[in-house]
Amino acid sequence: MGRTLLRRILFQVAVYLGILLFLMLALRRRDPVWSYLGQRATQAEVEALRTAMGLDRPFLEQYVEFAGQLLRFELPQESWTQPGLTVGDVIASSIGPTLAISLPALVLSTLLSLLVGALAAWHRGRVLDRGLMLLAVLGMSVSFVVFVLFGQYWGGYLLARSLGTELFAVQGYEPGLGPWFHYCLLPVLISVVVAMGADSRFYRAVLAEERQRGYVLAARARGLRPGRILGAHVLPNAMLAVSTRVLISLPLVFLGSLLVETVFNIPGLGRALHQAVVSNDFPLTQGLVAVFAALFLLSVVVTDVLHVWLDPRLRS
Amino acid sequence: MMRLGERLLAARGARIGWVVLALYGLLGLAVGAGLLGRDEILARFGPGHLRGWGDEPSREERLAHLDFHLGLLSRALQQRDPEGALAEIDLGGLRVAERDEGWTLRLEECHRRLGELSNLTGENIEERLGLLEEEVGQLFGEPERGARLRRRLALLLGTDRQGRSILLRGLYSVKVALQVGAVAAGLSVILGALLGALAAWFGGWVDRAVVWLFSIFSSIPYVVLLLVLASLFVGTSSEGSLVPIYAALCLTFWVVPCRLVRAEVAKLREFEYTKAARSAGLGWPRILLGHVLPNLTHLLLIQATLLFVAAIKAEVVLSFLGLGVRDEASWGIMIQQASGEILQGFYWQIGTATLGMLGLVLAFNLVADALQDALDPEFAG
Repeated sequence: MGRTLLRRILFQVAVYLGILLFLMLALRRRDPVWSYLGQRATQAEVEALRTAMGLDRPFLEQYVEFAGQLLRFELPQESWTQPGLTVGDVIASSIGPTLAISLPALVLSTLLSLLVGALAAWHRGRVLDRGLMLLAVLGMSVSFVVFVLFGQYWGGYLLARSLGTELFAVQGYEPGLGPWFHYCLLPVLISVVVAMGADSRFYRAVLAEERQRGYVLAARARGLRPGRILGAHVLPNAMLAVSTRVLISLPLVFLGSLLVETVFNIPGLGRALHQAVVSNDFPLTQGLVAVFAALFLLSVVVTDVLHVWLDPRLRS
Repeated sequence: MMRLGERLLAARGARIGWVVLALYGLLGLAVGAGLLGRDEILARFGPGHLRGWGDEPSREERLAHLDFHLGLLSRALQQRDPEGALAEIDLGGLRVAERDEGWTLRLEECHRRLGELSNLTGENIEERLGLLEEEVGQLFGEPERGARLRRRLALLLGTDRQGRSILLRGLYSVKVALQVGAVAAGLSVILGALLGALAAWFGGWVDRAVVWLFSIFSSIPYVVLLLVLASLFVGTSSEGSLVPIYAALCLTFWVVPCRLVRAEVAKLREFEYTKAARSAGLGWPRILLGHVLPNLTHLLLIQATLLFVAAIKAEVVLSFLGLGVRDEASWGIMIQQASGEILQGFYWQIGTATLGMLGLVLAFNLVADALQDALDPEFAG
């Protein structure tokens, strides 16, 4: 078991090195200095920025240096659009807001989707099932952007107007638990709604299949209550599928977080990336994508370990 | 075959889905065949943010619309060639009337009355506003019947900020969405299937290389990948066209079909019929393309429908983030432009784009479910 896990982890390292290769090559396809400074820059300015960023050195050297910096958790390049801040500074300051939104959104959407999926699976083919699944498909057919825009309008503006006080902020962010309700709860709820359509359909399929297994029939024959069968027998068996699904929906959570951060003006990783890409901030773009990929691969490894822990069959 | 057809149409939802999909397809073909040109979706039909049918404009909006029409005429008069400038005014068929002596005087009179009305508050100006609107309407001529009907149709769902017809732009977006979906889904399924099949067939280093490659592309969250790929085209000649979207979507989407096909081909490789084909001396391209991949058509079809939907939705996200198409119309651009309009209580543009997209994506989702139920026996739906 240890060896399989080790091999998986080594493979992820190879994948990560590949990601860095792809990323660095892709971002250098167009001259990054030129796209940032534009046509009016003098030759001296271009040269200065190029040397400062190390873009004049051989690619392999840049590659090894960047990988080494990531390994030591330090990204000392200065952001082009935010002078005085290194890429590491920007990432360190924006990782908090992103986690404050995406973690609760992930947990809440998984729990609610499991609940909806279980309800639908238990009433398979009946009105409740059909109604819930129609709702899920409808939700999946509306753009995320529309959810975010209308969520901000209804939950932010209209609610504030009808209540007289601003219950949820229309935009902005402050750290801390009290401000969290004010600034983050609405974005989290919107992200949950966005994610629930596809998730609840998936969990319904998993639980419906699990429910047809023999052990459920046996449990019912023993006279166990449906709630107990679900909680004590079906859910633990479905955990493997759930953890895989959480991993699959992580990119979707990133997407939701990016859109929500952009619309609500929350200084998180997603908004930072969007601004870096749009304003041609090369060091920041490169650093952020590398960190995003590292976070994702880390969750792949965690899922692998979790699987071994959840499923005794994988331990032999 | 009959039984497959029956199974595809088994659920009522699927039947509706197929019909809606066919309608969208016909509409897209009609637009593509020249029913709606680029000029018409970029043409000005009236003042900005005109409300659609049945939605009464507020007093401020009516004043603003009058101001727009009068301003258009006055600015034309100040040109070096006023006659030519006036003759050039064409709001989707609404042109300036034949000018008699009183025309210029009437225009000035209208300006004066508009100024008066703007300063007034109170109940009784509605009637005077109506009269002034009629008067201004007479400065413009009545379009001939065909043009009038076309114009009324174009204004049915109102106008966007630049006074362009929301209905026409929404209809044109059907074509763009189908185009984006078809190209992105088609190319990524083909690319993914070929790579996946090759990986499973040859195994060894080819397999490891392909797995490594798709692991790279699937380990970058797909918005991040889309953003980076789309940004590579900024500043090139294809910026603002559909090409960056196609490229970004294909490179992002090929991963899923590749993974699935690789797993399936690994199984099919050990089947009797592939072994027979091999011992008969057929080459690997012939076996893969002629015998193995046709057996996976159902899988590829399901993947294509799912990716089609994903492509349409991704286009909206990219456009919203400012990396989408620019000189065409698309639901993404409409939603992006509408993000500021919601606060003003103007829902026509975002409503049109959302409903247009809802219909197409919903139909696709229903059809994808039906395909999955009918073609994939392992899928527990």
